[in-house]
Amino acid sequence: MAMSTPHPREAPDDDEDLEVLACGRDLAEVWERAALAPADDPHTLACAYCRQAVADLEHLRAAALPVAPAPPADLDTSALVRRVMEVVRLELRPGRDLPLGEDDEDSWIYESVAARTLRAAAEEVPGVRAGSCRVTPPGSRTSPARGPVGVRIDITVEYGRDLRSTSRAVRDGLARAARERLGLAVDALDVTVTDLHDPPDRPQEHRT
Amino acid sequence: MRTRQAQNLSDAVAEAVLDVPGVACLRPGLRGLLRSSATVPTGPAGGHGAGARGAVLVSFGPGGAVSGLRVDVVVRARHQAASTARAVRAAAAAAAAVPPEAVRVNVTGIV
Repeated sequence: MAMSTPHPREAPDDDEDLEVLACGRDLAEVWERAALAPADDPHTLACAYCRQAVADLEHLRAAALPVAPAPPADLDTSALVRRVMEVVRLELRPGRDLPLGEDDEDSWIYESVAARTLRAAAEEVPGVRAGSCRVTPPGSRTSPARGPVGVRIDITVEYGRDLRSTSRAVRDGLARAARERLGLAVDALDVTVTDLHDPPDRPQEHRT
Repeated sequence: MRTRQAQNLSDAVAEAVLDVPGVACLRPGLRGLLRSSATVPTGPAGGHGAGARGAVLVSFGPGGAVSGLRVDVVVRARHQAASTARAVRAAAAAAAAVPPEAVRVNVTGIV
């Protein structure tokens, strides 16, 4: 089965924190794709804007990593690079401050930190890969208020899985993670299945 | 004078916060680092002092009393972030002898 190529999403008008490239893709999403599978996305390979964004990230990576002697052959440097880049991305894009705990507390968490926990929870559901995750607090972009947040997450689901039950499992997992791992009150939880993907043991079909 | 007072206070707060179960380390985000590097005491009308490499920010009111604390922490994943933040608030407030309402806690990472 030929899988569809994810199309660029329109940036919602109320989402001021998205950094949308001229091609319509979110910068964070482009960076995430590049970190996960640099050569797997035909759009990124063909798009000048996405290639430039990935090149910029490479410059940052080179600047962030100290010059070091050649590592031993058995050292997994890719894991280290992934970790460093995760920190760089988080530092560059912490996102909004989200309210933690009760209304009368003054505890907050970076959106990027909460989103990473929620994406991990979504991927605990068999056959699910998490994509973009946005968490929106009440109030404005510059002065977020306390209160329940809204969560919007994009997922892709393994071909052959029941979408309804998988989406429900993702919603349940997200609600549980928000409550138990973070202590984040959620009042809206939107899960969007943006694509299907092949099972891990089935080779991806390449299009010409 | 105030800078030293702020430094001592932020060191005391940092020590108390690091003893809280569930706290992995103190870590300011990029914003905290920039803020701490740009912080200059503003004289008798009030001011700031940043300590623990920017992770603890102390604000002083007009009378020289501590008017606010901001603490940036990285918490451990096996503890609920909100509960850890709550405990950090209490510990920081006790260390600085201020009411918990004067303390803002930011979770900047989970490990």
